[in-house]
Order: sequence, then C-alpha cells, then structure tokens
Amino acid sequence: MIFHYPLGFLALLAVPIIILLYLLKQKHENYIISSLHLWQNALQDMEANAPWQKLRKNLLMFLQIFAVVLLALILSEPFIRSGKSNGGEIMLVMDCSLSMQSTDMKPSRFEAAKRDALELIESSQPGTKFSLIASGSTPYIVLHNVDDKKRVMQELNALIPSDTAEDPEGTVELVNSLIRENSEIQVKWFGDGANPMPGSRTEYYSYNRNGNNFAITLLSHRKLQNSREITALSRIANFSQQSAELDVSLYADGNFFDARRITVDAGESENIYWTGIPETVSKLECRIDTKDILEKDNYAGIIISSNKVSKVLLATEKNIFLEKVLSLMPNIELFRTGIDDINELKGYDLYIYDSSMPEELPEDGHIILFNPPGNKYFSSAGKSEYTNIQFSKHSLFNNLDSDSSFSALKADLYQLPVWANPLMENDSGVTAFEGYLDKIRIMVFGFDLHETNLPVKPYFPVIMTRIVQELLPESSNSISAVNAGDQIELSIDPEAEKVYVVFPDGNRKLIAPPFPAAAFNETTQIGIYTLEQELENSTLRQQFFVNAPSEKENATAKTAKGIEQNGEMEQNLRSSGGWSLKTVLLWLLLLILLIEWWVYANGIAI
Amino acid sequence: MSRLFDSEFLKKIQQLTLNTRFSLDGASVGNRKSRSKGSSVEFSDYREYAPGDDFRRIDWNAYGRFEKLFIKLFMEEREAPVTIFLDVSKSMDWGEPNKSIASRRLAAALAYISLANFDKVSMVCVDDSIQKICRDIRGKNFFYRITDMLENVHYSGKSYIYQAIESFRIFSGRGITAVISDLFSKGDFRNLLKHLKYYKQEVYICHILSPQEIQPALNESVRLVDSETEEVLDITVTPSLLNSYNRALINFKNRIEHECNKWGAHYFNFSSELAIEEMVKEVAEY
Repeated sequence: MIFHYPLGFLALLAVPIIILLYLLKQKHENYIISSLHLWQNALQDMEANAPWQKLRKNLLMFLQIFAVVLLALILSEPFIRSGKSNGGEIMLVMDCSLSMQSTDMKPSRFEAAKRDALELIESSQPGTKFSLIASGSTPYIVLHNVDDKKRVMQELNALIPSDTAEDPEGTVELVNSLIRENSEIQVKWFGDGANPMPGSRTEYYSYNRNGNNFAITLLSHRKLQNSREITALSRIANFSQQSAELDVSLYADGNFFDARRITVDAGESENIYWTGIPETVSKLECRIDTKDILEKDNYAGIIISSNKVSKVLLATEKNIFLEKVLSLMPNIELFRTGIDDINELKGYDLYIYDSSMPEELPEDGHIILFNPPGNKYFSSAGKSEYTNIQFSKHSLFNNLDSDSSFSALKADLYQLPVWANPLMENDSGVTAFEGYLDKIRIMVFGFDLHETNLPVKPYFPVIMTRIVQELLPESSNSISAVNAGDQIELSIDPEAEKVYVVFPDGNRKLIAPPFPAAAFNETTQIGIYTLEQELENSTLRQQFFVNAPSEKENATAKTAKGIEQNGEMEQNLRSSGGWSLKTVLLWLLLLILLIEWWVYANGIAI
Repeated sequence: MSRLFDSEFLKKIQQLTLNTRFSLDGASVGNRKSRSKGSSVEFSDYREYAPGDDFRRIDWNAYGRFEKLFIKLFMEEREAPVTIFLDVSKSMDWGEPNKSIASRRLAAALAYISLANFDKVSMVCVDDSIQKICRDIRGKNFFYRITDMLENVHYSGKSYIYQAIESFRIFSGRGITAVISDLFSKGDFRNLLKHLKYYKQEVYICHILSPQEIQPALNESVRLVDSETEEVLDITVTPSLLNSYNRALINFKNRIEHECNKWGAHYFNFSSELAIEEMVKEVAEY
C-alpha cells in the first residue's frame, strides 16, 4: 500500500488534542446520596449486560480518535497496488465515431466507455502518465504524457462522440507513432468493434451488445431526359442479426411524399425506388421510422440540382471533341467562337480556350486552357514527343484505374506555378495543372486533344463532366449530399466577396476570404449545411446535405465480439492499476460517525 | 413536646392503639408457662393430641365422650418483651421527607402501642455499634423516656447495623423484635435474621426508603458522594442507567423479602412520604 499524499497524516495531530480535551473535560457536580449501594449494583448490572462496556468511559473518545485516524488515512489517499501493474504510461484511445452514440448500452456506448475509462484513471497508480487519443474521422491527440489525473479526467469528460466514421487505420498509425516514442506504454482502446491492433499490447474493450441498427446507406436521384419527373433511390441496410420489417418514408421539400414497408434480411440491404417526384422539388429526405439503437443514421437527405443554365464560352478553331462533349452536358448553354476576338468577350460562367488565350484573362469566370500559347501567367519547361501521360492524384480522377494513361504525339511541359496542383504528368514533368489565380480557378492542359488518344478513351466524357462541374459555381450542387467527416471542395463563385458555411445547428463560419477557400472538412454534424456567398449586390445560397456515414461506420464496427467480452473487461480494467481505498474509508468514517452519534444519543457512554 | 412527637402525633397513635394489635402470635403456645403470676388462663380451643404434647392437658371428659384424645388450648395473657432496633446511621438522615423522621415516628408509634398492650419495650439505636438504649420500659407513663431518647439521636455513624444488632444480647426470651432501617448496611442480612430467630423473636423488618431512592431524580453527569463513606461515583444519567437502577432496587428488595419469608420474618417496605398511621396499620395489623 502506498500513500499518495503522506502530508494527510498531519491530521493525526488532532488525536492528542482530543485526548487533552477529554482530560480537561469538566468535572462532575457533587451530589450527596444516602448510599452508593444501589448505584454500584446498577452499574455492575450494566456491565454484566454489555461486556465491552469496560471501555465505556472512553468509548466516545476512542470513536473520535478512530474517526480522526480514518480522516488522516483518507487525506493521505491510500492506494493498494495490484501485483500486475507497474504504473508507467497508459494510452487511452476513445472511439468518438457515430456508432458510439448507439444506445444498446446505457446511456450510450460512448458514455459507458467513458465511465469505465474514468474508473481506470481513478484507480490507476499515482504518477501514471496518460495519453488520450480521440479516434474519429480525423484522429488526434488530446493529451500526451500527463500525470495529473484530474486534468486527464476533465479532458476525457469533455470528449463527445462525433457524427463521423472512425478512421481506424489513421488511429493505428497515430498510436504506433506514440508507441515508437515509448515502447513500455500500455494501450487501452475503448471502441465498439474489434481490436484493430491484434497481437500487440493493445487491450481492446468493446462496447457493443449487437443491438438492432438500420440505416439509409444511399439516397440519390435521377431526372430522366424529356421527363418532368424525378426518380429517387434509397438503399436501406439492416446491420442487425435478424431480418426486420421497416417503415421508410420519403419527404419532398419537407412534406410527406410516400411511405413503404420493406423486409430486409440480417446483414443485407434493399433498394427502394421512389417515382413520380415532381421536377420542381429541390430537397428530398428519407427516414426509417422503425426505432433502433442509433437514430442518426436512419435519416438521409439530398439536394436536387437547380435547373440554372450556365453560360460556357468555347473558343476553338474546330475542336469537335470539346464541342461534342460540352453539348451533351445538361444545364449548359454553349457559345462557340473563333480565336480571333477572344480578348473582348465577357459575361460567361466558364471560358474554354483551345490553342489560344487572351492576353488578359477574364475575371468573371473560371478558365480551361488547352494547348495554350506562351503567356505571362505561367511558363513552359520544354516539350515532350511521343509521350505517355498519366493522371496525378486528384479528386477529378477518383475511381479511375490508377494506371490509366493516354498517349500524346506532342505535349508541353510546365514549371508548376506556386498556386497550382499537378493534374497530369509524364516522365519528364507536369503537362497539366490547376489552381486558383486570385479568385479565378484555372485548368491548363499542355496538349492539343487532336494529338492525343484521350478523346477516344472511355473515361474522357467522365473527366470532362467532372472538370466542368468542378468549375461552374452551380456545380457545388453536385455535392448534393456527402457523408459526415468527408472533405468537400466547395466551388466558389469568382465574384464572391465573402463566403460562409452555415451549420445544421445554426452556427455560421467564414471560410473565405482569404481566397481561394480551403477545402471544407468540418462536416462533423449530420443535417443541412448552407453555403452562403456574398456577391457585390446579392447573396448566393446553396444547400447540401451531410448524411451519416452509415456504411463505412458499420463496416469498420463492427465485427464486434459482443457482450461476452465485457465480463472480463472489468477485471482487466481493475487489474491494470490497483485499488484506491479512499471510497471504502469514507464509508467507514461515515459508519463511525453514525455509531458515535448513536452512542451519544443513547447515552451508552458513562 | 418537640416537633417530632407533637400532641397531634400522640393523638394519632392513641387512636391506633384501640384498633391494632402488636403482639405475639399464639399458634405455638402450649409448652410455655406465663411468667406473670396470678394472671388467668382463658380457654381458647381444642385440638387432637399429638405425641410430645403435655399429657396433663388432655381433656378426659372429651375422651370419655368421643374416645379420642384432645388437649385444651388456652390463650396466654402475658407481658411480651418488644425490642425495637432503629437504624441511626448517616444514610438514614437523608431524603425528602427525611427518612430519620419517618423512622423515629414509626419506632415511637410501635413502642407506644406495645406499652399500651402492657408489653415491655426496649428501644435500641444502632449504627456501626449500639449507640443508645432505652431498656425494659413498662407502662405508657414511661413513654416519654423513649421519645426523649429519639429526640436526641445523632445521625453520624456508618451502617454496620447487622453486626451491631448481632452484638446485642436479648435476655427476655421469646418476644418481638422490630428493625427499622434502610438496610443499606454492610454485612449479611441473613445472619441478622438467624441471630434474632435464635433468640426466638417474632421479627418485623420495616424497610424505609425515601422517594428519591425509589425514583432518583438526577440529570446528566453527576458525581455521587456516599453520605457515610464519602466514596464517589461519576455517572452520566441515562435512561438505560435508570432502568438498571430500578432493576437493582427491585432485586435488593426482593432479596430481603425472600430472606424474610425464608426465616419467618415479616417484611414491610415503606416510602418515607407515607403517613405514619398507614405504616403502623400495616405493621400492627399484620
């Protein structure tokens, strides 16, 4: 047994004071009686009835001294070490993801885990150093090597679960980096899935009773050509262990539109098609009405793209590939022009220059340059011939084959400007890049499409569609819905002076200036976000939904071993530190005080 | 006349004399002659002859009629010696009303009744030894000698009355002995009874306690001081202690009563606040 604060024993100084007070206690008043005969008999009788009353004269004093000794022990914080523990350092990893808000453990998985973690801290040896990692979509270190228990408990108490999915790989990486610093550190991971670091020194405590959980994993829409109706698709997943009959409702612009009852087998998902939705609807919300352990993933929403038509200027001699691909895109009004009078054209949302460019770039729209001539904005770094061009890592090329490439007869190489990110590269250097030049976003492709085989590749229309959507301000509508925790590249209108994001809880955050706005990664809340762009004379508002990352979250969770594991969990938690005797002693002190009160009230002490 | 034995008190005990009898029990009479010469023998009853009886008392006329032996029983009228032991230890001078007053009045009353019955009375004041004696008083005319003595009793000694009484020799043979005391005395009460019974005494134990001894009215913590020994005892008065005291008192009285019953003595327990006539009635009409 060790004492955390040995100074607490100073309270024992009260013991001699109590004894002194008893010694100085006022004498009894004299009272003459005929004979002590009967009184002596009476006292003998009492002694015979209660053998311990030999101590009766000092019972109160002994009780008080005992109480003081207990108080001194409590103040000195006695602590019994368990044989297994060795103090040292403990790293607590708290899963702060959405699934931890499930209520199959009371009050929630996260609260149950937090309670146990607090107990672990409380019962740990004095001097133990704690690190605390919050594991959400972006794992981060809350505390590192702190031996102040109160502070650790305070920080732990302040943690709240987010609406995002957990990133176990990122957390493992973070944990490993800390383990490298100190190989003796013990890792206690509180989550609801399976141990992501099996075989290591990590002890994983799973808070998962495998309660029924259903979720909407997809909500999308499609507007058929030549139709005045929208068709929506919901995918309903059943993550529980038995099949379930679920009620699902669809709301259009906040009004009830339709409801279905479907049966989803355990671990499976079902699609629901909603037809006949009027094209004027701008917002669709889908809801599972059947109760389960996690409410938040029973809801998803989507914003339907507006029908605003964007004006696109295509300045080219005769690029049939660009003309064709742009004419197929909906909501685009394409203006074709030659390359002769390009310097005077203004008022377009997007300018595409093929093998030409004006001396001064326009300032009212984003720009795409194909095979540009020399200019003052960026400089050439040579040329390549008969080259193979590959895509860089960029969101434009997501989900394309990583080894996708195309061939070019000729391609310009560029020195990458400081404001730009590479888009395409060959062995010699960068052949295409994009970036913000002041408020204008520019994409530069250093080849003539006619001299490449890119237009005949199946993904050419996909890339072109993505490029146009990325550059048109309205294309932010394309992020009609994202999952919580995702990062969004918000497309800002070049004329916007201030840009805000309004969160579902009403908070408003300025994201630009400075321009260009950084990628928005605070999609931690589920609900409707609003992008507000203040232009010179008006305010442009666009909404997008952030939905629960149900599929990802449940996929990581969630091969949990379930409650069986929890039985030994408590044992493990306790054995990791020892026992603080404070609580026991406090109860004992209370008991002693009660006995003293009883003795005093009943006058047992003589 | 002093305050202790005023005329009103005397009037009371004179009245009591008419209605009470404080005399020897006649059941065992038959083998003793009266010491008073010339006094008549008054026929009382017959009873069947038992071996050991004086065959001179057989009624032969009755035998002739019933063919069974009967003996005649007679009421002896004789002068009985009455000895009254009064405890004058310090413990008796305590209580409200004071036990000393009640006890002296009871002693005087019993003495007066005996004198009125033509008995001879000895009044003995005892504490740890025989303090004062007024021996063999006959006739009411000499009652003043008893009252004089009682008036001038000094309560000072310790309670060793059993030993003191045992040291007192009773010459008068069969008689009556009354002991008036709070019985807070050292020694063995049984020895006292044995001693008195040895002298063929009809024993009356008058146990007088003050109301404060029967129901102590004490509060909180006090240091009790014994009036005789000045021994001290610190107590904190609690309900449980008072209960224990009551038990001790009851045990004390029961033990005395038990011994009295065992040895054929009469036991009376009085509170000092009881009126003298009540006490006398209880003792003399027993």
